[in-house]
Amino acid sequence: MFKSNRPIKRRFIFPTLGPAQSICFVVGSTCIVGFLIDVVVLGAPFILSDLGWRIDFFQQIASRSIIFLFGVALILYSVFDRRQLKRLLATFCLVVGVVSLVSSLVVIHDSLETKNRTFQDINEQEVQIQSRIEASRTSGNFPPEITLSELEDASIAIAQQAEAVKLTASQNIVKASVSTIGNLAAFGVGLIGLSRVGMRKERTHSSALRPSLSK
Amino acid sequence: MNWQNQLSRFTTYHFRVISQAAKSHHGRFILLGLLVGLVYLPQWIGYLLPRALKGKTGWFLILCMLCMTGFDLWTKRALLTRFQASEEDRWLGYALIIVGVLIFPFCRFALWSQALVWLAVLVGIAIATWGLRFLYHFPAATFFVSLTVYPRVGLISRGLWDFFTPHLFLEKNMAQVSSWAMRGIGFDAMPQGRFIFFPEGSVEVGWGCNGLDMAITLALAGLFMGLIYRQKRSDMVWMIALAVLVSLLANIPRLILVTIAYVYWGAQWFHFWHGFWGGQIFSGMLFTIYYYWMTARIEQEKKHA
Repeated sequence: MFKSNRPIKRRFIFPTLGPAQSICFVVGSTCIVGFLIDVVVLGAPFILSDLGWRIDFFQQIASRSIIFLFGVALILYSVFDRRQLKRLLATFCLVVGVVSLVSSLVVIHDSLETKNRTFQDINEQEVQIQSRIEASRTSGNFPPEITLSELEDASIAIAQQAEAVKLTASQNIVKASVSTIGNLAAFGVGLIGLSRVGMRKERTHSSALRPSLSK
Repeated sequence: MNWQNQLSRFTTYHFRVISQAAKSHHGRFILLGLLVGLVYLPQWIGYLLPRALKGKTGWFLILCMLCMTGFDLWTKRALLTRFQASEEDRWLGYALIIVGVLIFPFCRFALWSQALVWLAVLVGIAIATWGLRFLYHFPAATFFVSLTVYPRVGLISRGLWDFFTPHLFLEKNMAQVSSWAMRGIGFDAMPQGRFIFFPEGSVEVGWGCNGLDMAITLALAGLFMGLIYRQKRSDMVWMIALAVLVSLLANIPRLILVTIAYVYWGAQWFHFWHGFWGGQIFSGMLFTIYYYWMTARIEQEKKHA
C-alpha cells in the first residue's frame, strides 16, 4: 500500500555528495548564514542616506567579509561536479565581487566627506572661541587677574590645539577608511577569483596555451 | 586640395575601424568602455594643462610614464598578438566595463572617482581583449597606467608618505641634519622641530623643501633608465634606492643654500634659489650626476659580463 514503483527522486544535493563535500556544504552554508545574520542585525534600521550609518555598516561588513568568502569557497567546492549550479554560483560571485569593489568607491567618498565635516566643526568652534577672546580684549571686559598678554597666549594655544585635534581626527578617519577599503577590495578580488575558478571550462593545461617571450 | 584629401582619407579610415569594431559583441563592449575615457579626457587634460602652463612639471612625469607604457607594449607586441582571452576573462572584463559605464555618470562629482572608474574600465578592456595574464606579463604598463589615470601624482605620493611616517618626520630630520652641517661650516644654526633658528631670523622647512618630490622623480627616472637599458630586477631596485639616497642627500646642500640666502643675502636671492630658476639648476645638476653615474655603472657591468 505504501510501496510505490516510482524511482526515488534524488534530493537536492546531499545524497550525491561524498563526505568531504557534504562537510564543506554544511560549514560553508553556516558561514554564509552567520554572515547574513550579522549584516541584518548590525544594519537593522537601514538608513542608506545617513553618512554615519553607511560608514559604520561598511566597516562591519568589511571586517566580517572574509567569513563570507570562506563560506562561498566551501560551497563552490561542494557543488563542483554539478556544472549548472557551479556556473550559477560563479556568476553570483562575480556580481558580488564587482559590487564590493564599487562599494569601496562609496567608502572613499564618505570618508572624505566625514573629514571635511569634522574639519568644519573644529574650525567653527575655534572661530567662536577666538572671537570671544577678541571681543573681551577689545572691550577690556575681563577679570583683573588676567593680563592682555595672557589672552594673546591663550589665543595662540587654542589655534595650536585646533591643529592638533585636526591632525588626530584626520589620522583616525584615514586609518579606519583605508582598512575598510582594503578589506572590501581584497574581498571583491577574492570573490572574482573564485568566480573565475567556477567559470573555467575543463581544459588541458598544455604549454602551448601559455605564451612566452622566448620563442 | 591635398590636405583635405588626406583628412577625408584619415576620417574614412577611422570610421571604417570603428564600424568594423561595432560589428562584434567584443568590439561594442570595447567602444562602450572607451566612451568613458572620452568623457573623462577633457577633465584630465583640463587639470593638467593650466598647471603645465604655470610651469609645474607633473605633466612631464605623466608624459614620461605614458611613453614608458607605450615602450613596454611596443617591445613585447609579438606577445600581444598571441594573447587570447578565455571565457572567464571575457566575463570579468565585460562585467568591469558595464559596471564602470553604469556608475560613471554618478561619479562626475570629483576627479578621483572618475579616475578610479576609468581605471576599472581600462583594466576591463585589457582583460576582455588579452586575458588576465596581460596584467602580469606587462607589469610596467599596468603600473604606469594606474599611476597616470589620476593626474595629481604628487598628491598620491604625499598621501602614502603621510600615512606611513610620523607627522613632519622628514621635515624635522632635514632641519636637524642641515643645521648640523651649517654649524660645521661656521653658521650659528639651531634646529627646533622643523624650524631652523639663527640670531638674525628663522626658517621653516615646509613640505616642498623636504626633498621627497625630488626623490620620487629621480626614483622614477631610475626606473625608466632600468627599463630602457633592460636591467635585471635586482639592479633596478639598486638604481632606484641609489636615486632616493642621492636626491635626499643632495637636498641638504640645497636647504643650506636656500636658508643662507634667506637669512643673510636678502629676499631677492632667496626667491631666485627657492623659486623656478634655483629649482631648475638644482634638478639639472642632480639629473646629470645621476645619469652619468648610472650609465657608467651599466657600461662597467657590460664589460664584466
